[in-house]
This record gives sequence, C-alpha cells and structure tokens, in this order.
Amino acid sequence: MDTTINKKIPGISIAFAIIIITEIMFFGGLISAYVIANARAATWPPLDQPRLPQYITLLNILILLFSGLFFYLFEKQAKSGQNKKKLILISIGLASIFLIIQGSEWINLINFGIQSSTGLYASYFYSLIALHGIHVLVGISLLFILLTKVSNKQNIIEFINTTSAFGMFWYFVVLLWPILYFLLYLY
Amino acid sequence: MIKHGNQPWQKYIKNKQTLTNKVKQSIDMDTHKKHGFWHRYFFSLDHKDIGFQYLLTAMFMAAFGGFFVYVFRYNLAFGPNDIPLYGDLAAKQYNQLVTNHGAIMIFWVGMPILLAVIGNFLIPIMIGTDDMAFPTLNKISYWIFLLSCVVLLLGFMMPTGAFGGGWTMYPPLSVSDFGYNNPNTTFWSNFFTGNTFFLLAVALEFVSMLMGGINFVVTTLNKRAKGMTLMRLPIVVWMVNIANLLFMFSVGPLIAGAFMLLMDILVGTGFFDAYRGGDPILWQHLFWFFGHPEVYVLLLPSIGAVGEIISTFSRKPLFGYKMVILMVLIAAILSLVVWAHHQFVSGIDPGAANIFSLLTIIISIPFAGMVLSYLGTLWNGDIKLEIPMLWALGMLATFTFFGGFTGLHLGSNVFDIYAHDTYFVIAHFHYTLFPTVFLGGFAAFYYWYPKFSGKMMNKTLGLIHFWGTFIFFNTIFIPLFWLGLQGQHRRIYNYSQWNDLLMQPEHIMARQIATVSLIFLLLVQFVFLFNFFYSLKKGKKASKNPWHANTLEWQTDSPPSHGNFNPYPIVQRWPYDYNHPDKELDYCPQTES
Repeated sequence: MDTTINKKIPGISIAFAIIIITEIMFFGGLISAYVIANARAATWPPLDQPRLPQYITLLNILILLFSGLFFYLFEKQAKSGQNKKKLILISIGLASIFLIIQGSEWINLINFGIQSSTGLYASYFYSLIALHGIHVLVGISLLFILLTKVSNKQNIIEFINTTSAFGMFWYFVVLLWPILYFLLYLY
Repeated sequence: MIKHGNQPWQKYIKNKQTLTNKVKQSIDMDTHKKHGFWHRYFFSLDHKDIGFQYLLTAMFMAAFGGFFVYVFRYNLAFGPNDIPLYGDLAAKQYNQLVTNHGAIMIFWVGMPILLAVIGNFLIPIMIGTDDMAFPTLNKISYWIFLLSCVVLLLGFMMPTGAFGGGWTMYPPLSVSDFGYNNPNTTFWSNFFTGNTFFLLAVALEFVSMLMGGINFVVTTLNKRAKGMTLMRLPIVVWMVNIANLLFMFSVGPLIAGAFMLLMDILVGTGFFDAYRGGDPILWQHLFWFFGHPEVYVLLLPSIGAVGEIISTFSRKPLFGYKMVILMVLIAAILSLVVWAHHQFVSGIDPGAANIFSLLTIIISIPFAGMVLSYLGTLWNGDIKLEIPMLWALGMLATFTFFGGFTGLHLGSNVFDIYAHDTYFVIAHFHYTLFPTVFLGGFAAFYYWYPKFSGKMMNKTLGLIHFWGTFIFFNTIFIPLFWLGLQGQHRRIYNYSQWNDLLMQPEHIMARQIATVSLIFLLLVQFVFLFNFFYSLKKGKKASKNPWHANTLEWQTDSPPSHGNFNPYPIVQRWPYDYNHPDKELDYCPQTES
C-alpha cells in the first residue's frame, strides 16, 4: 500500500544501524573496563602468565579481513544486478577458518592451565574473545540467510537492502577484531 | 541501496510488485473482520492487540510490585509479625521483597507501560499508518517480555530464594554467596539461584525492549502518512522515539556489565572481585551509565503524553513545540554524562565528583525550559479539568516541585554525601518515578481509553481514583522526606532493634502515616480496576473524537478497525491548531486543509 511518504533509507538498514550503535556501546563498555584494569595492574600480563600467541593471530586478522573483502565484492556485484554465490561462500569459509583457529588457540591455553577463573587477565581475554566469536557465529548465520536468498529472484530490491544491512553487521565484526587484537595481544 | 533506474529487469520487478501488492490488499480487506479470542490474544500481529497484551502483563506485574511494597512497608511501621495476607517477614525476605519491588516497578511496569504500550498503541495510529514496520518482530518482542516476567518470578522458587541484593545488583552482594569464593558450588548450582534468574530476566527484558525500540524508530521514520513531516509529528511520538534511542545508546555498557556479572556468578571470573584485582566500583559505573538515562527513558514518553493532554484541554497550541524537542534532545545527551552522581559515597575521586555535580545541575536547565513550555501552554488557556487533565497537571506539579527540585539538592555532592543513605533519596526518586509512571501513565490511559475501547470511562470513579491516588501518594512520601532529613537510614529492616535509632514517637508516627497512606493508595487502585472493566462492558459509547483533539488517531473510528484508517489520511497541518483564527471550530484536525 503506497500510503506512506517516500522512504529514503530502507527500514532494515535503520534497524541494523541501531543494532550496531548498541554493539559499539556494548564493546565500548567492555573495552574501557579492560583498558582501566590493564592500566591499574603493576605488570600486564601478570608475571606468572604468558602473552597470547601473537603471530598466528596476526594471520587470523588477515583471514577475517579477507572474508570482509569478499563480502564487499559480493555486495558490489549484487548492487549491479549480478549474484555471485561463490563470493559469499568464500566469505563464509574464511570466517569458519577464523573460528577454528581461534578455537584451537583456546584449547591450547586451557591445556596450558589458564582458566577463566585464574585471574583478571584471563577473565578479560576469554570474555572478549568469546563475545567476538559469538558475533562471528551470528555473522556467519546472517551470511547463510543471504545465501538462501541469492537464488530467489522474486524481490531483488529487498535482497539488495538486506545485503547492505547484513553487510554493515559483518564489517563491524570484521573491523572490531584488529582493535581487540591490538588491545589483548599487544597492548 | 539501489536507485530506481530504467533497466528492464527493474521495471519488470516493479510491475510485479505493485500487482502482488494489489492482490495482498484485497486479501487484507477480507481479513479486517473481528478475530476470535485465541487469534486476538495469542497470534495477532496487530499493534493495538500487542499493546493491550503489554498493558495487561504490566498490570499483572504491578500487582506483584504493589503487594511487595505493602508487605515491607507494613513491617517498617508495625513490626514484622503477623502481617495480614502474608504472615511473618524475615530479614532475608525483606531484602528480597525490596529488591524485586524496585526491579518490577522499573523494568516490568514502567518500561512496558511507557515505552511498549504507548509506543504500540499510539505510534502507528498517530503517524497515520496501518501497523508497525516489522509486525512479527513486534510479536516476538512481546513473547520475550512475557518470558522475562516468568523467569523473574521463577527466581522466587529457587533453593536459595529470590535475589535480595538490591535492584541495582551491586557486587559483592550479587555474587558473594556463590561462585569462586565458595568452592563447593558448581556451574549448575550457581545457575539455579535467584541471582542468575534475576540477571537473565533483566537481560531478556532488554532484548524485548530493544526489538520494540527498533520497531518504533523504523516505523516513525518510514511509515508516516503523506504530508506527515517530522515537524508535524505529535510531541508524544517524538518523545517515545527519543526515549527509545536513548535506551539503545545507553544499554550497551549495562549488557556488558551484566555479562561480566553473570560470568562472575557462573564460572568464577573475577571482574568485580577485589581480592583478585577486580573492581566492584566498575559495576556501579557500568550500571549507572545506563541507570541514569533510564530515568529519562521513563520520563520522556510520559511527559510527551502530558504535553498532548495539556494542549488539548487548554485549547491552545503547544507553546514552543520545537523548543521542547530541542530541550529534550539536550537533556538526553547530557543524561549520558552524569552517571557518577549516584556514586558520591562509593569512594570515587572527589575531583570527578565535582564535575559530575556540575553536569547534573546543568541538566535542570533543559527540563526547566520544557516545564516552562507547558506552563506557557496553560497560560490564559481555556482550561477544561477533565480526568486526563487532572492527572497531567498532577504529574507536572509533583514531578517538578518535589522530584526535580530535590534532585537539584541531591545532585550536589556536598549535600548528597549526608543524605545519600537516608529516606530522603527514597522520597526523591519516588517523586520522580511515581508521577512519571503512574500519574503520567494514568493521564495517558484516561485520555486514550475512549479511542481504544470505544467506551467512555466513568467520570465519578475517575475522580475518586485521581484524588485518592494523588493525596495518598503525597502523604506517603512527604513524611519520608522529613524522616530522611532526621537521618533515618534506608537499608534497615527493623528499627526497633536499635532503640537509639529514630524510635521517638514522632518518627514511629511518620512511618505509620506513610504506611497507612500506602495501604489506602493500593486500595484506591481497585476503583480503577473496577472502572476499567465496568466501562469496557457498560460504559457510554465514545464518539470518534470525544475530546475534540487534532491528532490523527481521533479522526478514525473508536475503536479503530484492523488497519486503522480507511481511506488513509493525508496530513495538512501540525497537530496543535486549537482556536485557530481562520477556523470556526476551536480545533482543526491534522487532516483538514
């Protein structure tokens, strides 16, 4: 029913913009708590605890960034009316590899004897990495939803709007990771 | 987003869409008839039905909140033994009841009534559309809200009892019995505690309000009727949207804190455990970063509804419409940087406390501007003291005079340090929240009841309800201000155990006045309940526009059919053209040119 004023921005994009602002505030709260805890401690990491593995995670940043890049290419194609399923599949694949590497890192740390209740250091890095990991999982499931809609040629405008809205979320998750890496692994 | 080009596939799809829309429209017209009970209250996606579900659920929760306060106030005035309808009250139960009273009244009564009920009932119909932007999301948000109510009440059945650490959930009270400090506990024994259920219930409630809030904002931006520009929106729509945005900007840190607290309880992380390098004050920062804006999240929709009512019953345009919006935006932004004024006695840096004092006191400027606008609307108006107007004036008077004004005192750290742990603070925040949630909420309820039920409410019963509520509300809290200034501490279960602590006859008397007033206040609400259901069945039939108001909802049937409007309105003017010089009538609906 065309009884409403002209829509300038599609509803789903507004919705995702609001979600992302809430997410930024959410991670902002966690990160500022972490930075203050870090600044207050005499040494960071505490003397008896190791630094997190920096190099393999650096590789992991690249993997996630490439996943975001492939999604960007997919979005660009979709906007010009073509649908390249391959691009989104690569994006999902790279994100899954990221999760597997992070997961194996966790198992190593737990085998090393660091548990979430060991101390503040472990509490923060397990929590932040786990929360980011959950966001990656949500992102992957959003990409899968897009994948099911690619072959549906019924409503292309809606598909493009959905793509750009989900894209905002995925870029947020991808770009958050380098910040977390800097704070948790190097800082 | 795509530009509407002239490529052949785009044209094809556009044609096809208009075709399917036409088919859908004709199907819609067939389904505009009345649905059965189950369909209406369990599966309906209609915004009015969902609003009604929120209202009933919130009223149900308010009954719990009201009963809890009756029990612990009775204990404070007349002792813990043989409380009628309850029995004996132990100290632990006292803590649980106080905690859950606070949480229920704010999260399960205030927020659903002022955000969800006002938003659901009013936004689509006031902006001239058929429903929300995402009706299914709206329904899901209600079901999650209902689930959060169930989870909260389940907390009372846990082996450790309900959570009793205060509605602000300060650690270490909210963790100490459990988790790391007690090695005998496991994940699951920590899970089945009042603490965990309380946190989960609050989290679910936030998820529900976030879904609802996204829906309101998108609906307001994208589904306005033709001609409904942003500057023609009724003030209450502005306010609900600003409140929602404020909620969504401020809730993130609290969710972060709640996650950390939950981890502290369940798996023994040490975020708030000072013994392991954590910081209990951190929780207070994360909580109050949300907690202070939350007050405005509740206040804004209420003050918006009051604005509508004051303009309608003064028969005058709302004075300074744009200024009110600007002032509210300023207040909303300022509210994000004043949180630490709740922590002056928590051991924060005194230098920082001065800054927070200053910012807090500055916030009174935009609110003073807003109240001035409302007084300007009343000035020289043709004031009609209908029931909604009485509630609206009561709200404005008590909120400004007692709530806002004592807020200035407490905002200053110099005074707050002495008053913080006394009943002065309790009286202060009840004078802000009670007018906001109940006086403002009832104003809105009496004002829009004819529209959504199609019946007028009984006026005599309404008068009894208003004067009963208004008088007894004041006689509860004015004695508490005095008791607070006398130094009555606010976290004591039974004063008679400390005979040197405010057990003079006049202090006992003041407590008893407050408690008896509270009992009368609760009894008066039964008049309202009776009026609500009685008028629904036997009330006088309401016309389309019983108050002669301008906004769009009064230009359609009472109650509005599924789909709200037929045909859809085209808006020609702003909503406050009362006593316009060019018009014969003293009002001029928004649809009139």
